[in-house]
Amino acid sequence: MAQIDIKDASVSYFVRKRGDVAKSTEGGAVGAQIVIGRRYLEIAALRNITLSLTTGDRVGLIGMNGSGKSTLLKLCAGALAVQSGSIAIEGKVSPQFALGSGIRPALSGRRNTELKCLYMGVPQRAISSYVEEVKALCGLGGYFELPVQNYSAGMRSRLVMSLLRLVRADILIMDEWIGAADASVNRTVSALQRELIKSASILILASHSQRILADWADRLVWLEQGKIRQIGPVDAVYEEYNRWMGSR
Amino acid sequence: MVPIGYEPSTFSNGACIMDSLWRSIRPYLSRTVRYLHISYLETKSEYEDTYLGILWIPFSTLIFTGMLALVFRHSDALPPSSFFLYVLSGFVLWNFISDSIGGSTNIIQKRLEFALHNNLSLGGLFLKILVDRLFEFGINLSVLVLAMLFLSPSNFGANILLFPPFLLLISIMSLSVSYLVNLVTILYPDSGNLTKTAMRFLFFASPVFWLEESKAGLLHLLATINPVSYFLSLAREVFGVEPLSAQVWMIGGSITLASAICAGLAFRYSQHFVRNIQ
Repeated sequence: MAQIDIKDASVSYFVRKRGDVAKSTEGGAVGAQIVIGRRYLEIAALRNITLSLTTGDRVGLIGMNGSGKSTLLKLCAGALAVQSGSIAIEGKVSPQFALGSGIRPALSGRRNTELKCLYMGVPQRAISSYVEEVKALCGLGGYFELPVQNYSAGMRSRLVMSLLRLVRADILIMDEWIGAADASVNRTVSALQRELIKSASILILASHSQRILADWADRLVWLEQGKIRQIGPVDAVYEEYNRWMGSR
Repeated sequence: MVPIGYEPSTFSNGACIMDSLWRSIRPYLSRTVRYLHISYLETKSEYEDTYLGILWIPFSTLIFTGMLALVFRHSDALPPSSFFLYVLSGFVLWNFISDSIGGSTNIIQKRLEFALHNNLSLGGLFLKILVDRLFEFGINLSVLVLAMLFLSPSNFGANILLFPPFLLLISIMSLSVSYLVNLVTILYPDSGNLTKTAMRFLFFASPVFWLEESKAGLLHLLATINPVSYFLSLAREVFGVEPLSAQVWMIGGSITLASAICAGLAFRYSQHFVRNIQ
């Protein structure tokens, strides 16, 4: 059974002091509070978060820029640690933070696919057939043999989404890019994406798109200044969120 | 349930133990093979635009060793072929040491996110990078073995049986130093540049291309207090370039143990907060 149990967790980033640090404390329209420490500027990205997710949960994260959505995703993926409180995770986590994370731009689509197979634990004897399958799925043709850095954004999204075929996860963590693919991305690739999301025991998804969140999430967590402002059904939280945004 | 007529024997117990031992080490072996395959593909890709490809690794080692052996040959006590093997055995390990220290200043900062997207934990990332280093070391080692077979086959003796413990020692040392260097660089960014400068000094202060016995005074002192010189001796002893010395193995083992303890403690107490420093 997959589970994420976050109790009263606070997470800060520590950024080395540079230039006139006094200006760093100026309040802005977005982002968490910045505290000047002895050696570092402390960005209090999440404060006293308590959240419990279990098998079957499909959670969307909403909030303004700098509200803590990405930090919460990174915390669940193990890329960040808590400064206080605790987090316990059961299950295999697969983070999909950004389109292109986890691939090497200097290498060809084929080489990236081979490497992905190896990293994801595909048996050695099955690698070549997986590579051909990904090539057929992404429909890149000859571009599959060229370095990824020569791809257009759309081509890259085709490759990355086709690579989702190799991902096996209990807990799937996705940040924004889910909607990055253009309309030309074929039906098979979109189906793969759906299949991956459906097969995951827990989905945590951050997005600014109400349509995407309504499609995939059954619960929303609204983050504001690093704190949870509201948790609830998608429609109810969005209604409140939109009202709040309108009043700003 | 024991079948009728079945009598447990020492043989079956032994086979059972071997089976369970194999089962317990198999996942690690499988992972090592997988990482080696990744290292091979990644290294091959780095040299994809060149005619010689991955062969540039042994060629550049041979060319540089040849130049060092030619320029710094200062003793008539050793014939040229023996001095070449002395330098080659030192330089092959030096490359590994240099990668372990100089190449570890920004692992967490630059590669953790890539690793997380590819099913690797923080510890797994450092292990994978160790395998990368071992892969390149293995290529250079094959050059050394070929050179020895060609120039001085009599060097191969029972000492070669010490290769597995030697490999274990340098792997632990490399892993430990790698994490410590990365941690210190995260906490004190200036140490990244300092490390790169220090590596140049360390190269000249280590008996890679000069004979320890032929130097006195400051160089001898440097060779004595410099941990690298003991690991260079270990490599040379394994390949019969230098006579076996129990003292060198004890010092090398002690340095490795001390580094492993320091790195283990550092990892335990820092693995969480280092991720949040940017």
